[in-house]
Amino acid sequence: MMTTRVLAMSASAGVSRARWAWLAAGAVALLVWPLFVNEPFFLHIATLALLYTIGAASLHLVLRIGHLSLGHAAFLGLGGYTSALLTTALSWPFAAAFIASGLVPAVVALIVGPIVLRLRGVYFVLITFTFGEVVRLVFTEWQSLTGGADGIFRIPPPHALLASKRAYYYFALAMAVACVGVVARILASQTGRFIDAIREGERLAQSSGVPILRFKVMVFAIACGLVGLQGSLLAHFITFVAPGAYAFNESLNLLVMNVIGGMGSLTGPLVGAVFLTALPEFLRGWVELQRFLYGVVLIIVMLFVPGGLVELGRRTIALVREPEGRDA
Amino acid sequence: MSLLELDDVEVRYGSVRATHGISLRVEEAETVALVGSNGAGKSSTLKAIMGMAPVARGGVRLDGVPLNGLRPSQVVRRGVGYSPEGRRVFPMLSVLDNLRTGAFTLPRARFTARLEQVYAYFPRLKERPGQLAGSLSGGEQQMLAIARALMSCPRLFLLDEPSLGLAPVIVQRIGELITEIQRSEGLAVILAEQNALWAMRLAQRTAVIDLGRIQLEGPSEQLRHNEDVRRAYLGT
Repeated sequence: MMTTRVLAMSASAGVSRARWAWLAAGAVALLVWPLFVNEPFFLHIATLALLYTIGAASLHLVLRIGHLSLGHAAFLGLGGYTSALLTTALSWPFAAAFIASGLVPAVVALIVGPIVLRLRGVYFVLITFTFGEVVRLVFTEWQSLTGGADGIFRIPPPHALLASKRAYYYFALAMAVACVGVVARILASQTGRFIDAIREGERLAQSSGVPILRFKVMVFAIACGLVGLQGSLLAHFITFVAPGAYAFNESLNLLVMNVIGGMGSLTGPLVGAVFLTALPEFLRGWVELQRFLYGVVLIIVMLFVPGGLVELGRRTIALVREPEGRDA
Repeated sequence: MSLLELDDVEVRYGSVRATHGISLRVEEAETVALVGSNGAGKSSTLKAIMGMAPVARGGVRLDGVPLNGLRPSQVVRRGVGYSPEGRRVFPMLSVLDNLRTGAFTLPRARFTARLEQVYAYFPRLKERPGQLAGSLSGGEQQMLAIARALMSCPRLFLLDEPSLGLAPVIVQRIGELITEIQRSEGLAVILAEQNALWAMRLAQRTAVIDLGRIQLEGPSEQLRHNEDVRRAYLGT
């Protein structure tokens, strides 16, 4: 039933049949390629990319309410540590730990949200940055619980059947579709329009009777819960958690995925997540230049295609369809 | 008991006093013009009612119940609609989504019926529900701004400078619409305007605001013909 509703909504938004055909083709490709390419390296990268689509899409939600968070990795870490501790120290089954890894960051977001979401612009950026660093310090310093700088090792796979890379890829694919689906559903719904209204005119939304702070806190908590789920899936995939993995550069990474991909729609962070997970791997050959090239790619995209890779794709398609490149 | 009562309301932004003690009564189904020059305190008075300006002293009551300390969303729920200054719409949202946002406090079951009622006042909007609000003409945007605020079915409607920056023919049309809506819905309206003569023609009663205080108040017809008022406040 949900699918038909989504379909109806998209149809009203003018989405063509061709687009659905492309989506279906993409889905088939995602499902089928591992049957032919059983290469652990590619499966590993693809799984990481899928997991990062969850975090990038969840940060997209925060950006859509008009807030730029530089502390999203803290919630990724809260999810990762929750799941790791519950499955190792307390031997919880994965399913229960997985749910907790979404709830813990969501509850933390419900507590800090009403305070930090009152702040706007650069103040919100700074406070989320600080919050991220505080959480990372807690991971490092609370050694009795978190294992300090070494972190927690030998995190079991979610299920004995998911021990292989290929099986985990399919698991990650299903989870990514579900989590990104939640984000897409929110954005396509009435709530999504209120989110856009808040971003476009906070005072005007307020005078329309929208309780903006409550709305923002709710969206923030959902976003933080989702990235917590990614934290859990990631922890069980790479089998360890450590504070360094949730440092500032990880928050920045999630943000850059949104910027590079494009912030106008949900497609942006998805494209950005895949691109930025794959990019460092392709630059492996030039290890000493990796960071530098990463920066160069970033600058080029921001300078020439501020709408991100999604805009680049759109321009390319337009160019192919109308080779003269006439301006409309 | 009046629908709305303002008692000695002082709005203060830090050390700057925007109003020095506004007292005003508005009865059910009555249109009151709040006229005065730029910076006289008209907008601050409306914001004080909405809970969007810091009230340092005095009280606002709706049906005798104090509104002080309520958030704007709660004030809207109690039946106050507000169309802020500057023809405010959500430019990147469609006409329909602007109206949906305005209906935030309205129960979903009543939305369609209300939308039809509001479309009846503004047929131009009905013709283009999918168009982005930012691409409408100035007059259409003002109509959408009014329509948006009406979606919540208010009993008291606060309109801030609806004539600002619009062509005379559009201003006249908007005046007709305000009268029509006021009559058919039995609304109480506060019309804050610099265009005093226009506002006074629409309102039964007028309050002249200057230097953060209400200087004069009475039936619009009387004030309109008062020579002193004309010279001091109406610029004629």
